[in-house]
Amino acid sequence: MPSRSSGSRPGRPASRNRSAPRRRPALPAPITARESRRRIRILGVCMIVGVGAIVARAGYLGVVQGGDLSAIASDQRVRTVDLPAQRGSILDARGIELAADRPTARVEASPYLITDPQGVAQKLAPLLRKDPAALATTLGSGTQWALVARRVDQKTARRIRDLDLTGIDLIDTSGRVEPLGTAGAQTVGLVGDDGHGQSGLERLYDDKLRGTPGMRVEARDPRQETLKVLKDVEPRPGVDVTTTIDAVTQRRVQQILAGTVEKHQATSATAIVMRPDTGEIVAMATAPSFDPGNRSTFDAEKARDRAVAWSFEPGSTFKVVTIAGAIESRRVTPSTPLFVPQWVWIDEELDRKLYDAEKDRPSQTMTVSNILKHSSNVGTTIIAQRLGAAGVNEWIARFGFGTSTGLGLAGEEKGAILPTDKWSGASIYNIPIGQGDMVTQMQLTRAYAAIANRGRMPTPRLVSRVGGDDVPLGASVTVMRPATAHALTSMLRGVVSAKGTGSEASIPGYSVAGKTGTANKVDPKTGEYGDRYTASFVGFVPAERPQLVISVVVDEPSAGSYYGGDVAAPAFETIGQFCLNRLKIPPT
Amino acid sequence: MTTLTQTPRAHQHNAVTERARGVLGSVDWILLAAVAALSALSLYTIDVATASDFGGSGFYVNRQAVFLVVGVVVLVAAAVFDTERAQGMPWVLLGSLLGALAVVYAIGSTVNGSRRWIDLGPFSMQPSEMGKVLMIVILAGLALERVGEMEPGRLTLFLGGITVVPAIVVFLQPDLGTALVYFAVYIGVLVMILTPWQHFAVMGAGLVAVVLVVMVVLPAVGLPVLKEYQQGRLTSFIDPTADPDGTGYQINQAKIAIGSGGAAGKGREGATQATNEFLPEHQTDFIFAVVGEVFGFVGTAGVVALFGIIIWRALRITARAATQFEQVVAGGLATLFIFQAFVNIGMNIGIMPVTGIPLPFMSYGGSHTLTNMGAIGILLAINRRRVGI
Repeated sequence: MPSRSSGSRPGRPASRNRSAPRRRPALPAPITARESRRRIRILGVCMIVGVGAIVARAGYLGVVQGGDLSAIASDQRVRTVDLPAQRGSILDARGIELAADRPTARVEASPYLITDPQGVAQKLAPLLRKDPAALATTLGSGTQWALVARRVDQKTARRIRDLDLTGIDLIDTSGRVEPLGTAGAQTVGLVGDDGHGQSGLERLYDDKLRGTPGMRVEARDPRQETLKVLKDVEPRPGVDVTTTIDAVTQRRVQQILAGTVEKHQATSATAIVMRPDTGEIVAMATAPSFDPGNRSTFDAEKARDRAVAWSFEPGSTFKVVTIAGAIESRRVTPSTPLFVPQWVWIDEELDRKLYDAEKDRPSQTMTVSNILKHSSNVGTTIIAQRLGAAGVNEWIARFGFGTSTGLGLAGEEKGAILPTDKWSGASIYNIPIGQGDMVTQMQLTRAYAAIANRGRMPTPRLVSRVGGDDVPLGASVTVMRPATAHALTSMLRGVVSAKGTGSEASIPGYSVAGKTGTANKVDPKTGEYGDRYTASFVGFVPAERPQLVISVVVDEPSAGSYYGGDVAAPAFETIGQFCLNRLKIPPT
Repeated sequence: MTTLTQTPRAHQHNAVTERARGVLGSVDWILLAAVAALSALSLYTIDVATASDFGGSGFYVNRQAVFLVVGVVVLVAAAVFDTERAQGMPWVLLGSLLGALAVVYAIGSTVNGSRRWIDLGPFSMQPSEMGKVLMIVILAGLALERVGEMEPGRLTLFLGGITVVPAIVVFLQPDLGTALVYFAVYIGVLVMILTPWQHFAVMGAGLVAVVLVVMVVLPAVGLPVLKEYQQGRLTSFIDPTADPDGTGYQINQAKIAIGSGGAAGKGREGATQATNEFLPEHQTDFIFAVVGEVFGFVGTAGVVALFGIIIWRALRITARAATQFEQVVAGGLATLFIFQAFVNIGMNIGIMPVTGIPLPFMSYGGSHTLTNMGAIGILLAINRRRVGI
């Protein structure tokens, strides 16, 4: 410590003391050495307070808040990016894409950056096929963010990029495309914006198609440029699902059905083309359909896959069940003559009678074969009475009605079969002729496949491969002896003969076996049968060695005839003709 | 070689050696060691901070090394020069300063919207930086001519008037930080010439009143003086999280850098805030935060300790100054270091507003390095003359 009184410093080397300063500090009156030292000390105190405050604060930040601030630092710097996995494709039997991921773009706007919403809208609207006025409203909203369009194809995206519009951004996305468009749209299904399958095969095989999303953790600088990738988990793409569908047939069937709906002003028309030996579905289509690439055409009723997700009273196509049962259990043979009156009482007290569709058919003796050929209601109930109520219901169950077909598609119905103990006195007159019980078209098609496949009923099959793995064939069950199936086939060939109800289904050069159906529908308002019908035709070709079972169901035809033989049989014929050509099966 | 004969030349040689020994003996080695330590740390930290900047760190580190070499020359020159000679020429020095500032105003180059520099080819000069030391010498000279003759109140006002002129010119560049430094050294000189305490009390009260009127009262009655962003810059240190992307951004990033450094620091590779440009001005105003991130609390406490040593030695030299003039100048220089270090570090750790004052011996910058080296040279000169060499 320097002494306070003077400049002489005790303890300094003598040599320094000798060389005295040139001027001693002769301080003028107001400035005293004593006061100066006080002030210097005050500056010293200022320094110590400042140093103390800084050290305390720096220590607080670094030691006490260090953890929190480190977390903020890491938050600022580290970003986690989700990497969506490419969705697997849905393929037809030959590998043609029915649904696949394609690079697309999402168009977004930052309206607050857009100074001329009208001008920008004028440029964008034609490219996106949107209304310029509505677009201008969106772009002029002044908000931070607005969605302009999604699933924009690459060509359009490039054109929009070339416009270089301020406030318009394109984000690369991956979009689902369905090359078949409306054909089979219900069965292929849709993928939602969340990347999950919503319906059809997209939903059924979602976990296989979707794959495993990846993730990238990146270190970024303040401008969000990536500096370093800290962690990179590649997405695992989903696997492909190969169906048994033939895209070409599917497309053609869709066209034919659309024509049928148009011609008969029907609510809908559905067709299934199935291989009877394996149960493989070559085509399943419903018209009207929707365009999966244009969500504005979507409506829940059109998206419903009526082949599995719709139950209806089958009408006369159901008669084969009773007749198969009677023949198999040897109650009748195809040539057994039966007396068939013009009509029978259903309920004498209520004065209800059952006639054939040809009401003026006189009472006569008919063979079992002719009963089916002419689709005689009265004759079928006589056969049913020989089989008994329990027998009829047993045969309904044997043919798989009332149980799922095992396809697993969303919304698939089981139908509704009235148990024997719930039967009324009228049931024996209704149920054998296909009124009262409800079935799905897939069940009906499967039942006819059993006849075509010499009595063995296959499990319907829509998917043959998932990824690299073959999907095993479903079990087939024996419904009847081959002889019974053969007898039924002969009878069903008669249906399509010139005098049968299904003559419209005959295909020149080929033998066709099949059955018409015209079911009266219950009016949901009155609960009684009304004037609406379900017209159908189910059959197989070629009858000698069946290759395909084809079913056509037309719901509520309203223009012209409503009979299955007039409405559904021609569609069957057109589809059959096309399929036989496609399978290169020569005429006999 | 014989030792029996001693020529006059040899005798003369001995005298020179003796004097040189005395000069070296008068050097405050502790002060120099602290300055050298900070300068070395400065080079390393600038290298870390700018390594991933465009063009790499070479540009800044090489230039700062040149500044340090020139700074050492300035330091030695100032240490050899007799400071007292400057006492008689305050008006000349004031004229030179204002002249240089006028040249800046006329032909200066503009960086970041501020016109502070005179372009000298590869380097540029910032006269307002030199003005920090010059103002001390000018005010000390003018004050001591009048102490005991002029009434103390008038003297305080007179010196204030002298300070205001260059301060306003610098403020208009605009360079608020340097203008504030001029007022800080004015206060330092007033302290050293034993200005009565009442004057400081009045100035303090006046400052509080002005702040209240400008920042609270007038905006409240609808007459804002400062623009919103200016006000934001001055107040955001109180709560930088209120607007973390705007006015609070720099303070927030500096705090995050220091805090994430923790106790022992993240090292050169781990210093992601500083090197990835999250932290703005990382080689100049916010270099302290870089030290915090790289070396942690150990580093920041070390830097503060080195400043403590420099200021302690400066005050020690002040206390032992041979003349009043030298004592006032040394006290002014101590004030200069205290103020700049406290305001800059305070801004880094979020206890002071962002005013753009560099950290002596640490921040990158030529004029500022030369000025601070010159200030150390003057302190060494004052230390030397106290023992009459």
